[in-house]
Amino acid sequence: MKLLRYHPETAFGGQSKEDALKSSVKKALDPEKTLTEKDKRRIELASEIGEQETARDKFRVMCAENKLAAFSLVVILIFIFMAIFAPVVAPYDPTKQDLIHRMQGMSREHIFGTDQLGRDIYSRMIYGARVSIAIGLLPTFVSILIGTVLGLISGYFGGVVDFIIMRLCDITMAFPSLLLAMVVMYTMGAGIINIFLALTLVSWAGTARVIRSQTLQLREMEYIEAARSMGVSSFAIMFRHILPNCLPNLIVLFTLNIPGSILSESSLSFLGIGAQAPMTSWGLMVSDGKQYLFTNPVIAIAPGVAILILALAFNFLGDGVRDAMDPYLSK
Amino acid sequence: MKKRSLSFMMAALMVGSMATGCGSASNQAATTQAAGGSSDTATTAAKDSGAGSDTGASAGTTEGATDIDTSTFFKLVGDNPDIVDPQCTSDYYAIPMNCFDRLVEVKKNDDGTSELVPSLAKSWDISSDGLTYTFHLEEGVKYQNGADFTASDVLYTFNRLLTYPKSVNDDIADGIKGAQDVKDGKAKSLAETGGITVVDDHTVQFTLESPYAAFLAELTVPGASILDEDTTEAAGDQFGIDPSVTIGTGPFIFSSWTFNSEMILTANKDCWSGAPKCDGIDFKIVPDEETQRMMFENGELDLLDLDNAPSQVDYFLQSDKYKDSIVQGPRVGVYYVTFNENIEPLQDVKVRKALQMSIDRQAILDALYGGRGQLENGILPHGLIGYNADLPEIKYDVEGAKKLLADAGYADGFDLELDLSSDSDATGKNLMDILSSMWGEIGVRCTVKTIDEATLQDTKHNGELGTYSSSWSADFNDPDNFMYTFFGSDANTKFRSLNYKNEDAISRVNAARSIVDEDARIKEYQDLEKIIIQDDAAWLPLYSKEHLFVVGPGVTGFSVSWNGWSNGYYRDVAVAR
Amino acid sequence: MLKKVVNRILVSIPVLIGVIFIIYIMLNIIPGNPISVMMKEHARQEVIDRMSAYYGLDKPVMVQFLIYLKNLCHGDLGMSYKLNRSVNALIAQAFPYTLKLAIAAALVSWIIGIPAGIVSAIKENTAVDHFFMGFSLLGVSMPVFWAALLFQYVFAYKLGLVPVSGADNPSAYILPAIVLGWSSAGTIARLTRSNLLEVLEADYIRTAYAKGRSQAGVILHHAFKNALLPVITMMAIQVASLLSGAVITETVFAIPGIGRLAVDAITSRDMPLLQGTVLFTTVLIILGNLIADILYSVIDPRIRES
Repeated sequence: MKLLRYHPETAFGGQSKEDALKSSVKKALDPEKTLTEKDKRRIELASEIGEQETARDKFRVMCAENKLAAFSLVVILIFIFMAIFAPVVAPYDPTKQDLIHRMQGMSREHIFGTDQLGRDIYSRMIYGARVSIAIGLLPTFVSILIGTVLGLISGYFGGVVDFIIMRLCDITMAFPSLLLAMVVMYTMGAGIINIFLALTLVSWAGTARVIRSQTLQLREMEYIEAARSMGVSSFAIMFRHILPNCLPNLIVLFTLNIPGSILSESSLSFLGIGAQAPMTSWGLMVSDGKQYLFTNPVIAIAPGVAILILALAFNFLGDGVRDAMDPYLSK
Repeated sequence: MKKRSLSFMMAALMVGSMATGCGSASNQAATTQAAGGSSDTATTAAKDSGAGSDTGASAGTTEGATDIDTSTFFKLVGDNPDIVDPQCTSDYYAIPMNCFDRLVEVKKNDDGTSELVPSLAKSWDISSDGLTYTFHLEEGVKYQNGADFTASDVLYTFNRLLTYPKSVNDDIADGIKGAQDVKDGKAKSLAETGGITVVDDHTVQFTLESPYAAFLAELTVPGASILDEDTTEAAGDQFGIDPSVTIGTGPFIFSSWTFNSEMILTANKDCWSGAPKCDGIDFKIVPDEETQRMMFENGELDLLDLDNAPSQVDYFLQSDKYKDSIVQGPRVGVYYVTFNENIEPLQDVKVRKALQMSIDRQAILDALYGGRGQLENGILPHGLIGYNADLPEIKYDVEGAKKLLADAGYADGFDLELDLSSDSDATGKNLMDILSSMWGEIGVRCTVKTIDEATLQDTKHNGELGTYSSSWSADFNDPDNFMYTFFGSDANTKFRSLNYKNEDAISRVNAARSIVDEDARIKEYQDLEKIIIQDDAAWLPLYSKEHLFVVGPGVTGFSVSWNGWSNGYYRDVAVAR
Repeated sequence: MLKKVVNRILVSIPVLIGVIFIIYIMLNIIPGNPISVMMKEHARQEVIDRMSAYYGLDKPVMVQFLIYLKNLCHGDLGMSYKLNRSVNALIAQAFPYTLKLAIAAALVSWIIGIPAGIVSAIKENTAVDHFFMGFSLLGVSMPVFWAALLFQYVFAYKLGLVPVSGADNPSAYILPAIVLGWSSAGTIARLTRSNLLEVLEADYIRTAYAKGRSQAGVILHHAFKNALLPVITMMAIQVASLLSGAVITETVFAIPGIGRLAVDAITSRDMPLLQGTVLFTTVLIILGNLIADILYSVIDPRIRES
């Protein structure tokens, strides 16, 4: 019987994907289960693509099966599109002030009105999306990269190396993450690069834990033993044979860690050490706009809702991808 | 298995209910006590512990009586100070002002001017050379613990200012004869150096090193509060921390301090200058400004400082419910933007002038403060002795500024770093955004850099900070408080990252301190102000502001202090519930 | 079992030392003098120098560190030089507020997360599933201070149901508990959902179905209690992480807890206080993990063997 996989250390970063989930396809193929309409549709899909699912097939299944995840993906892509083409999409220059026309309500000229300095809120949000999405993607990606390498090394070599890396993990995770980020920001000064560094530093350890435990299991597999006896180098084994098996997990980790990054930046902005003017991010907009919550609530609410939608979309997508990939059962 | 997991959950639930249970229990205690007359009880408690025993430092940080019924108290937002010892804080004045008295106080007249009035000193004589001040003290004054106030306490207070290791207000006593010797340990006391002479129990004489016209005004600052020798010595390092040993002669007794949460003052019914009109003051420590405003409208606060809700001023001014409850007073202080003359190309006076001229200050005042304030063109703001109404206005002139820049060889503009503290509020950030945008019009490319408060202060003190904005409001009503602080010495201008280079002006500012003739002294300050700000463009003066407060229902007698500080004297505030 | 516990505790020691050391190093790289911060606009160089010497800030870093370690061995976290109080006393005073908040928030997260997880698992991949998971994920998708302000605005300001803030009135804890609890409800819901899904696949559940029991009966009698085991053990860690994660909530709602102390300490460069608070929360998190591990191996015999 399979053990419940339970990793207390990682369970609370919003990343409890280590729990084994029953694959929907597997469920659908199970004769003892009553089949829903959806299950039937899946069986058709599954038979179309054959028994052996690739990651891409799983992704297709997910999109067909989990409409919410698919929709979330579309939302995310729209946001990214707007961020990339901000100069084209935005109707105004986001830094152009107009002290006469301050705090205007919503109108045809200004979809969300203007802020305390007469700047167009909608245009600022579009430009702010660049920073917010970059802060969501970049530190998460780098921290996953670092976490993966350390996790592989730790799990594969074991011993003293493992002990040291795991204690480093413990130390990082024992810090309240916002405090650690604050200390880093104060040490290095505010600025976008430093936000990336701070957020990377606080989030690599979770990945390292997950990848380490997966490596520990994979290391004992027959084909790995075989490769080792054939004299394949440790480096090659780690990156050619073990890493590909960790990919589904990494994709899930990546997706689910993004909202955390975006929200951390907004917390740092609230504390005054987030993104810097003239650059703006949604977190900074919310934090600057909160004093107008009573008089012109759009200033604080619009960017807040944008954060909410993007973070929720990544959460739904992450959950969907996890259900579809079913990392632990599929190895 | 089942039992164990259940019991864990039960335990968690129990802790939860215990926690909430604690809250309600203490509430009940508070209500029960209401019948007994809270302020009397607190007075006794203070008396008992003030009798000399040294209470240990190890106790929790909720110091003093915690079961005071505050329902009839004046409730307002307070800062969370490090310490309330008047000599050890240069930033927190609420308790020094309300629990202690000084020899001399400032009184604000109805026409907005202010004057020095007797307090613990009922009268004084000043020698014609401006060197000797003789104070005749009130008789029969008692501290809150019953001890008598005598002239030797005055001597003790000023000695402690100079020698107590944590004192930060030693500059108040700096001008007294022999102060430096006392600081250096060459003399034990100002009595030894002839600085202060205790003539009898109710007469004390100060002798200055050199004439210093602002001396009397300086004695009104919270840092010059008079302390009782025996009480303060017995309290040791708990003075200003443990309410039960923090004792003065003032109208309120410091009764309880729950760190980061609230500070409670109760009325001193036996105060020598008369009992205050309310039962006490409840300072609530609330960091978030929007929370403060909601608490006020919900009746959880009796006073809202609109400095903490600048965006809401119009709302309150226009609201039928609140428009008649607004109390305001001018802030005797100047907002300014600095030019660090060590930073290229700010060493060029033409560049500095161009920067001065390209800012539409009225537009900023309108945008940030709804126009509630007055433009300033120098150093000495409206309401301060020596304010010069005839100072020419610094005109907003973009074309003229561009021309000046071109003359200076910067027709294409230059890069300028604006520095902002991470502690600054939204208004501070907005100001930086507006400045960058306006300077952008003449081709100056600004970047706003947020630096955390501690780093910013250090950089500033080293003279290396870029352009920043700050304000200075009067501690005491004398030009010296402004002129000397910023331009009194090379070290002083470096300390604020101005690095002002006009040595002649600097030495004249220093010399002006000892001019005995009042008119000549003011004239000299006004001349210097014009040289420093208008000719040399050492900084960009912005404006002085009105300080607005909204007072809750049932509260009367609140007035803004003479200088427009957030903290005021609350003895005349009455609360009807 | 005992060996495992002892082992865990031993492993925690280098972690603690590491934490102390890292904060110390970091704080000494950060520029800024606590006295400057304290005095704000009124600072004078003379006073800064004198006070720095008074607090021993002019001693070499290593000397300061050794003095700190020596005191730490006696359980003395030192004196906060900004606040002039012993760090032990400050923490002792702040902890009950944070504890109350953390426990109330944990309750909220279970009340939202567990039912949502159960319903979502039963109705897997339907609109109901998405709705309940969406609801519990909403909390983790909002900036905390933003949610806090909106809640204050609606429930305290507009509707007047609860006080805006306050630390002594139990009803004042309702809003902060909801804000903070909701932000971790998503994780609880995920865990409940996935565990329940897995348990529902287990052999004995199938046997129960085969015996002809109703779905509700099976879920209540068999699946539920087994699925909740990991969730329950999770609670220990959750409370610990809420204790340290309440920084922003405490600031907005003016609760004088550990988070506020820590933020004050960072901004004012108060090293002893920051070290004290971080050390304290670190110990809590380590303890939480330890309790969770032990609980888990006690209630799940399958783990005990391995």
